[in-house]
Amino acid sequence: MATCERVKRLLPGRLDGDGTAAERLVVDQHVSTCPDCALELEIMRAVAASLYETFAPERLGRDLVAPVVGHLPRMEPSAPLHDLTERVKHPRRRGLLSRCFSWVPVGAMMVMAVLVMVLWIAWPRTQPLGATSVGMVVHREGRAVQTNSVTLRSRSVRVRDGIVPGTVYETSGGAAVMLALKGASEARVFEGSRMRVNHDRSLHLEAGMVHLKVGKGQQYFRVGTRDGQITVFGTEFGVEILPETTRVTVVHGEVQVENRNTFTVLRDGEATLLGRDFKELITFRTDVSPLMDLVAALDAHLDKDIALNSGGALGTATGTLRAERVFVVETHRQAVRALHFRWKPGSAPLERSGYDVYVSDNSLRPVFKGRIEGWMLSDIRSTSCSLALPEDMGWSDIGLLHIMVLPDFASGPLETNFSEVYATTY
Amino acid sequence: MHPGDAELVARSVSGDAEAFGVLVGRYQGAVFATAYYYAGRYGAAEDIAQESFWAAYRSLRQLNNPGEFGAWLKGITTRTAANWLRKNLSRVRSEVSLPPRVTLSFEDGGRGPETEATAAEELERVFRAVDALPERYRLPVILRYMQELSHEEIARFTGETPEEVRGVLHRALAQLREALGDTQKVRERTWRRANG
Repeated sequence: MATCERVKRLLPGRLDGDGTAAERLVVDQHVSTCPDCALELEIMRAVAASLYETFAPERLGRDLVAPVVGHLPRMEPSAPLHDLTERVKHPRRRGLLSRCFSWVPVGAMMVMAVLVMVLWIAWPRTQPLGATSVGMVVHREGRAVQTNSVTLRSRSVRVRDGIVPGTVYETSGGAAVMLALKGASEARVFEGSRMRVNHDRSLHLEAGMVHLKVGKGQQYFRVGTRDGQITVFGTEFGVEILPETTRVTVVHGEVQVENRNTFTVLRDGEATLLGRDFKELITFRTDVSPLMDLVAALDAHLDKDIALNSGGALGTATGTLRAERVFVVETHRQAVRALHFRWKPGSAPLERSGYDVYVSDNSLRPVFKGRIEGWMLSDIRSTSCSLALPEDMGWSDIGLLHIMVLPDFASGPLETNFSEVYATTY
Repeated sequence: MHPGDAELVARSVSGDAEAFGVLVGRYQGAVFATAYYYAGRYGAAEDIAQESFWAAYRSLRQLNNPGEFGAWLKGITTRTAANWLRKNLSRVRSEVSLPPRVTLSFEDGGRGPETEATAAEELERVFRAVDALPERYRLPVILRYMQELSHEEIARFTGETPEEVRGVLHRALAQLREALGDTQKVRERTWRRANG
């Protein structure tokens, strides 16, 4: 008697009428006595029938022979091989013009090399406030150094310098700088810091400490660090890189702090220590006065004219899209198996930015953090996706879910328009 | 005895339009299904199929091995469908409505997806299952279940051997069984049949 395993392997063939007479006999004999394999054969038959049935209405409905043959185009000639052989036999017969053209790639490379050298020499050592600037240096104490990300050239920071995206600011030996960014944001970079300005609403702090006052904008403001990232929508706060963790202290407003595992939201007078591998972020009350003392000390030497006028010179923030979307889903204290996100189909299969999903409960305590990758949104055939939620979330205490969908601007263009979020329960 | 592809290609190249017509008749199902697979879900598979045959006819003299006309034609069809998609994508997007879905919300928690399912939803469900198959399995599945082509016909078009096609289809069916096989439904049907 054949084993179920072997028979199951033969089932697709049996449905197709393939295989030898012996194989057919083995399958038929087995399924007549084995209810499991008989059911399996029925299921396979149902699947095949469902496939035929579903595709049947889509089948080619008319004969294409007449319409195709009735309008046949002109047939192209085959490749003129004799021309190629001629050329090989008589290489000297090439014309003057074609010989000139053969030097074009070499010439182009030489021109490029000259251009690169000219650019290298002529690249401005100081960066004036120009169209590419996302901000302006409004104050400097001590010797602070800035490095251009394209030329990798370093030089001293000067007041009134424009800030080119990608510039890295380093403050050591009692130095400090204050940057005014588009959209009425300010960054005070204290001693011993190293910070890169990605654009007017994105910074990366590698070392040291900054105080940020973020103007409200259409796009969120984000500070990246070794341990995680900080997302703000208009607020005042400090970030300090410590040996093992990053400390975030909020003076006013709301700041979302996250690492790769979880997230938390800090409000006025709250702080957290962010560790790269922490599973939970503990929020605690803190005294913000040491931070504000540092700010006051820096501001005491500030040239008020430059600081006040920088706003007009810089203009408004870039980014015209409202970035985050918030959805509320009622759960009626039932355990939620998955969240389903739907979006309007895009206009073309272009690269899209990925989205981070932050799920909080009624009191905005973090429940879950997930991600919708950009490639899922780029596929024009897909308009929805699901995120499975963990089972042990204490669902009986949660009446509704607060779901924030936040694009990751760095990963691609912001094209996706989320239309709906809904939940399925167990 | 039917003439082989190579003979029909040779006759077509020498100006016999009827011979090319035989090739069109032989491959129209496969070409249409391929076009449908790539773009036809937006209603243009017939146009792409015709365009593919004309493109093949135009370059018929460049076909090095006339015995492999099917596989060569498949390449042309794929390229034609890709070009069509590139040109018409923006228009297509505005024409396509959101695919139907089965919502399991709290309000209608009692009703299952089955009662709500329509033919369009079933098509979408089957497509999703086919899309989830490995790339190499998808086209043979469409050729088999949409145009009901035999293993030999599929093999001529994909350039594989009939045995390879058979293996691919069997593995694909086993995977589709996992995605689409509703054990409960079949069990109920079998029970009902057994009990009159």
